[in-house]
Amino acid sequence: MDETLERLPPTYATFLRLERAGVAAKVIAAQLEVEPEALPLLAELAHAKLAQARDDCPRPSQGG
Amino acid sequence: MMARTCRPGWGHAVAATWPLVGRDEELRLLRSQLADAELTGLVLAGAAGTGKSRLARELLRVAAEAGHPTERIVASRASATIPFGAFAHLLPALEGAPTAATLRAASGALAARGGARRLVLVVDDAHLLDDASVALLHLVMLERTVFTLATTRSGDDPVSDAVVALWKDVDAARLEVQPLSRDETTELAEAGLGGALDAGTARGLWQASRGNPLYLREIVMTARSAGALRVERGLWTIGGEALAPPTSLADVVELRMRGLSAAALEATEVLAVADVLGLAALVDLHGRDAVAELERRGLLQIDDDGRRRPVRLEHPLHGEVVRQRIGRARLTGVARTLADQTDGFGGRRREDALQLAVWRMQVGETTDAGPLVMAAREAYARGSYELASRLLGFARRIAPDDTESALLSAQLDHEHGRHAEAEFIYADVGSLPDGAAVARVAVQRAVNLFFGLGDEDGALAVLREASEAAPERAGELTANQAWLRLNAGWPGDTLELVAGIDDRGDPDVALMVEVTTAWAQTTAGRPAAGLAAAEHARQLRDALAPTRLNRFRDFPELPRALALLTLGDHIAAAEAIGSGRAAALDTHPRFVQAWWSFLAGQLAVRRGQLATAAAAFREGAVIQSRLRQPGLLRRDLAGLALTAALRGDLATARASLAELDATGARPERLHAPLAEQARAWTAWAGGATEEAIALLRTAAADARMRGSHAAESELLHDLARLDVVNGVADRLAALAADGGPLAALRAQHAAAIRQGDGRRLGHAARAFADAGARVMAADAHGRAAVAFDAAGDPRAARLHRHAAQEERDRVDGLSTPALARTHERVALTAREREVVARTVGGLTNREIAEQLGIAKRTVDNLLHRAYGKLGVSDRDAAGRALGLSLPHR
Repeated sequence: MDETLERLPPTYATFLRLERAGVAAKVIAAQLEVEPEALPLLAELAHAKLAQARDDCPRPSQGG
Repeated sequence: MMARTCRPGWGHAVAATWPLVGRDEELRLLRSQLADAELTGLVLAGAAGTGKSRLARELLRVAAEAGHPTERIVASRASATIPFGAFAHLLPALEGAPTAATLRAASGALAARGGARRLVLVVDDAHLLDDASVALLHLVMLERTVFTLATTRSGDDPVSDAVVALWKDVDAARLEVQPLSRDETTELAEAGLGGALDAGTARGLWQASRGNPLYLREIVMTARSAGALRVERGLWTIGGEALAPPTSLADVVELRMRGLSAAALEATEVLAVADVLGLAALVDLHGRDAVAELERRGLLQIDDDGRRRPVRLEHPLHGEVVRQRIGRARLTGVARTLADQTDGFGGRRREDALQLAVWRMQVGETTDAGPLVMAAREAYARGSYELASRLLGFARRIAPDDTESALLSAQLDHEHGRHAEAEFIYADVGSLPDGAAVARVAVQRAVNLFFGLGDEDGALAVLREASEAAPERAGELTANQAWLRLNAGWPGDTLELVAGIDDRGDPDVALMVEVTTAWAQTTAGRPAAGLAAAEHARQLRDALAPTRLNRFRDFPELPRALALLTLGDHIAAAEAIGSGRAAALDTHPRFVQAWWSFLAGQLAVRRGQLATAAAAFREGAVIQSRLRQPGLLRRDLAGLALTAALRGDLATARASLAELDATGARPERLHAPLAEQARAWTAWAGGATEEAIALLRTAAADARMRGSHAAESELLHDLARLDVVNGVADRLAALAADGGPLAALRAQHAAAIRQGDGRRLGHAARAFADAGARVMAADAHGRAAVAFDAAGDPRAARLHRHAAQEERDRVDGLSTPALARTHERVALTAREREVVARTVGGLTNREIAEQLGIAKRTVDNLLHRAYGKLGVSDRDAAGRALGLSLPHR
């Protein structure tokens, strides 16, 4: 999982780590420096990008 | 993620329009939002350059395709003073000051632009709208007559309450558009450039842009125009220069900082010079209010690093732009302030000493070379080679005869390809204070002589002389001699030398001995022992002080990965190579990066990922060319040649071998077997099977003589694949005893070939496939098919033929002897096969006749008969029928 997270844009990776750790949404929003109203869509995108990254192959030129 | 369509070596022009990359999920989300009739719109927020407008325009296109009427307005500071200014082209002329009636009329006019479906309206830079326009949007969104997609910047001037109300009051969702990931940034740059990046350049672009598409594009365009970004060996690469911020971005950055108080602006200048500063130090200099202001504006990044809480500007480009803006006098003043403050705080940490030296250097207020040299060592240990060079240059101006700075300069010269300059420094070193210094100079000089100048005798002589002058350092000097002996291709001698070293109490010597042992054991065909030694080397490395300078501290992971590869544990090898390569990009010297590229290429060849292998070998070749280390360049060129030969790309294979030969005689023969292997397969691909066999025999005998049994095993296996099994299968079985699982597989395969046993060949094929050795698996399946054909078992033959084709399909353009046989439905004679292979390889009939020493008429007749047997009429079809890859044209 961590290796896949590393391949995401940093904000989404951080969100997923904080969510996994059970951090409250308000705190996550503050940590990510986003408006709280933006968190639902950010969460949806984060999970979508994680699912996509799991399906994608690593870049061939980076040792995979 | 969008499919990557880049191919290395596409044109050298930068694309006028860059594609939308890394936004598939955002677009899917936006489409679903648009389709939801309950939603009134969406606010796309984000920093400048993240691609909000581009995303909005893409959604507009999607909406239009779905049958929605669409419009777009762009707010600006100019139109912000005019009621409904941004809507001017969409609304009828409205008389007088805005009133409720005017608003109602405007709302009606806008809604009327829709029809059966809602109007989709993009509002760019909504934060710049005048109040009347915001009120209009508020109304149409409340009434759900228009779906509005508004873009607005995050982190700049506070957004007006009216714009905030757009998403808080009217069921509009808010999406913060984020920068791209590292992979996406590379993908975008490659799409824009029309070609692949080398790994170092990809990393550099990621670090400079931090995934901001606008920054990335501008950086690439500027670097390309300046010639700093160019194509080498088919890869886009930065030629060593730092990526400077493009002037067009200066405006973007200045806009970010518009309206800052004087104290906050000064704080940005301090951070631009310092790069990173403790929070307490920043507050001490500029006050809590200024720091809070910067944090509110999103211009700071504050890490939680225990007590110190390091602070830096939010984006590295901000610092670059500010540094360029403030001028030399101000930069010097800031550096003096920072140096005085660090002195005042005590400055005990290593990074403080480094920073202090840098600032004093910038100010020009230092007369003592000592701190500069210490700072240079710190910079070198951290991988900041350019900074180390600058500090040393300064130190040597102050103290030209300082030996320490001279030696560090020579080391940097060597690592940057300036070998003659390094030798000049070494030869000029005067008397040295003790044995440790004698040994240090001798080792550095010997490495430069061997790897840089190709003088093996000179290198060994230097080490011998030092042993006589400093017998107490014999252990260290012998360990280095062993290292050179290994690289000269004598692993047996290497192990004898290290076995005779008593002095392992010195941690540096112990580490070097273990790394050398690990490498030599694996090269000698004992990869399990090599792996054990590599693990021990890791422990020794981890026990070293973090900044202790030891050129082998970067090394233990390399022989470990090599051992895993030799054992045939490709999964563990892939993990080791992937992480090693990534780590090397951050802090390790470039020659270490090149080693990882080479191992990545070796793994990819094993797995049949030939395009990946070629890219990795090219990267290594680019680095070695820059480092001017032709001995190690030969290694990467051999890899390129082999990969090309396996794909049937004779032109590339021959060109790579020609370039390899042009490097001349070199002492580095550790990878000579790979070069001979490449030569052999290039000959085979050109139809010269007998020549290929002769080359492999000679190479295998040489490898055996030198004790390079791992290479011997590979070369003998290649011979078996060319039907040379007498004496080969038995020798492979003997080598398998210590050679590990993959060596054992090779022996089983060779024994099965000797027996012509289809069942055993099938077992070998499946075992190779399980190990991820796709090239071998394809070959073994192909041979099993032929064996079952000969045994009169067409069903089994068909199964293995199918399996061979499946494996081959996974490997782009693979050509092997067994695959060629697999496709033969009728028996060609050896001569017919030889002639057909040469013609498929691109030779004319006359050239084939000359090569084989037969008449052209005979070649014509042989081809005619072979074509008849195969049921084809030209060489392209013959190639397909025999499963031979045609040369790339």
